[in-house]
Amino acid sequence: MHKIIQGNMICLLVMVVLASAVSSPGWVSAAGTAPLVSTDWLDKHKSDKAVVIVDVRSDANYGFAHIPNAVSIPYTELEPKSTTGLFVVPGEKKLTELFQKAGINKNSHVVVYAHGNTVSDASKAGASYWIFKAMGHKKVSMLNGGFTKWTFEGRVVTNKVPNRKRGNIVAKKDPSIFADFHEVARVVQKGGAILMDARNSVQYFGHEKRADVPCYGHIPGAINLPADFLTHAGINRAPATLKEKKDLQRMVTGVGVPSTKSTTIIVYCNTAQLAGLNYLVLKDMLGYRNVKVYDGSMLEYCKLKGKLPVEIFSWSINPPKKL
Amino acid sequence: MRLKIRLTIATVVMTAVLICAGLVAPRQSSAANGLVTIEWLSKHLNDKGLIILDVRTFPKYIKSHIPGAIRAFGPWQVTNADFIGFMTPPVEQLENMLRGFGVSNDSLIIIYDQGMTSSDTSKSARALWTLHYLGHTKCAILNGGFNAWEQREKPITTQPAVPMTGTFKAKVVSNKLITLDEVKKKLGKKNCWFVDLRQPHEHFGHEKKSYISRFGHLRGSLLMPSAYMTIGGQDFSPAYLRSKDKLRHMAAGCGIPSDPNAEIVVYSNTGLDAALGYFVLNEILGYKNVRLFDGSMLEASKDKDVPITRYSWGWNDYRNK
Repeated sequence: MHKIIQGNMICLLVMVVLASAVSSPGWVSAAGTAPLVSTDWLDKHKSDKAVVIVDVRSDANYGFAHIPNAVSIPYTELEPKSTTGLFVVPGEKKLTELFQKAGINKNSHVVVYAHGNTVSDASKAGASYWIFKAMGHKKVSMLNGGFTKWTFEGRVVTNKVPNRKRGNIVAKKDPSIFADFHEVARVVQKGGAILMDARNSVQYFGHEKRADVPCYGHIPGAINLPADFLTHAGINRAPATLKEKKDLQRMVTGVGVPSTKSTTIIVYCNTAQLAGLNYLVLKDMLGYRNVKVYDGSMLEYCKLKGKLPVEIFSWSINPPKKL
Repeated sequence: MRLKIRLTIATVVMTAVLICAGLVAPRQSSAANGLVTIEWLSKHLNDKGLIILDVRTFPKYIKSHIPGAIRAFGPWQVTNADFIGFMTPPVEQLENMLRGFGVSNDSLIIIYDQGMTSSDTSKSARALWTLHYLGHTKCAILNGGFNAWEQREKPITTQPAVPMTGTFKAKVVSNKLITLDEVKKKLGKKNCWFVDLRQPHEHFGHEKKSYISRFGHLRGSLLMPSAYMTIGGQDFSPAYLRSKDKLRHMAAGCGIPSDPNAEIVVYSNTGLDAALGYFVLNEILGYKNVRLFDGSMLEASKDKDVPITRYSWGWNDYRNK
């Protein structure tokens, strides 16, 4: 019996050592902040003054239990539904108010998290990550595996709302990581950038569609890298942690993105939520320098496209396969 | 001048009459394009020489089936102790099975399945492919299957049909099938197109069936998911095959060349969904050289010599090399 316990203790020790070895973020983005932080890292730094943990789940979920010191900014406020039925980032003023109220300062290290069961969860965090970047805030990370991994590991949760002083952050839109309809339309007609569709293949191909999206298929010429493929979600009940960097690079090459890191890539999906996760991977994990998110995405494209086509029943293989 | 116009009108009328005749009694033409409608079958239920095969499981058959339909669950595919793959049974065994179903060489065979999803249609397609392999081309699939039949409130019965033994003799068309050895020779060769009929996430290697040994796809293969070929499940629709135009559009969009003589190999996990690919490409779209990889990924993924690629779309495999 003692021996078993001893054995277990050794196992545990080894695991702790291993865990702490991987706890430091493995890579660092251009701005110097790692795009991903592990649950271990966050557990150690959750009380740091500079760290602001942002829970983007619903109010109800936040109220029930959240990571200690986390503040609540529901994703529905970062990408609210507009009167025209689109989901787009609100104006600078509104976001500044939202961020300041949450106690975020100019030099805060923001760590966003959502649930971590599915790609839909992970992409909520991914899109929130993109929105902070798009608003000019460089020091932002996403919690890998989200709240699911945190609780799976038996870490402390609370329903206590932290008392934070109003912050001094100012949201300022960075146009270099936004693509609008006109830019997308220009690429459709003249090329000059890679269009990437982050939805699942069934929607991309046009076999099915989301009910509120008016058209089947994808923006002509777009290649498909489903955000689903980027995480482990759904495989043996794993939480939605991102796959290894080398696998992610293989996938990006395998769907047809050139290895030149200066390639301009415009990512979209139905609402820009899934696209946020692809953005995080392409820009800050793999180092593609010119990645933009088309915030209006398919919902807007179908409405504004006019005479521009939609491509259906096609993988946009272009040029055709050559041996 | 007037005579000429009259003649032209006469020709047009004649042609119209001929076309109508063809539509009214489409026994030959309907079997030729491999698909019959619910209306057609309900009118021809009692035709002489017509054999209806129900490829669903026994409990479903016994609960209700189309009057006169034969229980024909199979086996259309068999495996052995080594679980190499779900292979075509020996020809003699198939001949016996088909004779047991009442099939003779001049029978017109209509096959149907549950008709809920594309994978149901695949079961009919595998039976149809088997008949083609045995040299019997007078056969067709009931579009929409039993689901469509029931939705249209056509007659059903619980009475099992007892067929008279048929006299079917096979004339094997061996190039309908491709074995693992040949696949290894053809993979990566110019002018031979491998088409994967599985789901995109299986092709990409994000997930796989537990019985498949390796993630990914045969290197360089194209992807045309069988699941997209019918509208089964959309707005509660039976699994009607998409129109010929849409399927042709889809084949082109998946990178399949338009040349009807192109050499094509279809595969899936077990050779079942691949059969729907065979049916669409060969019967509906008229590709003459479509071969079914019997062992499919189940067999290929166990052989270390077969190049299988993960985390890419197959059409990019050679471009990125």
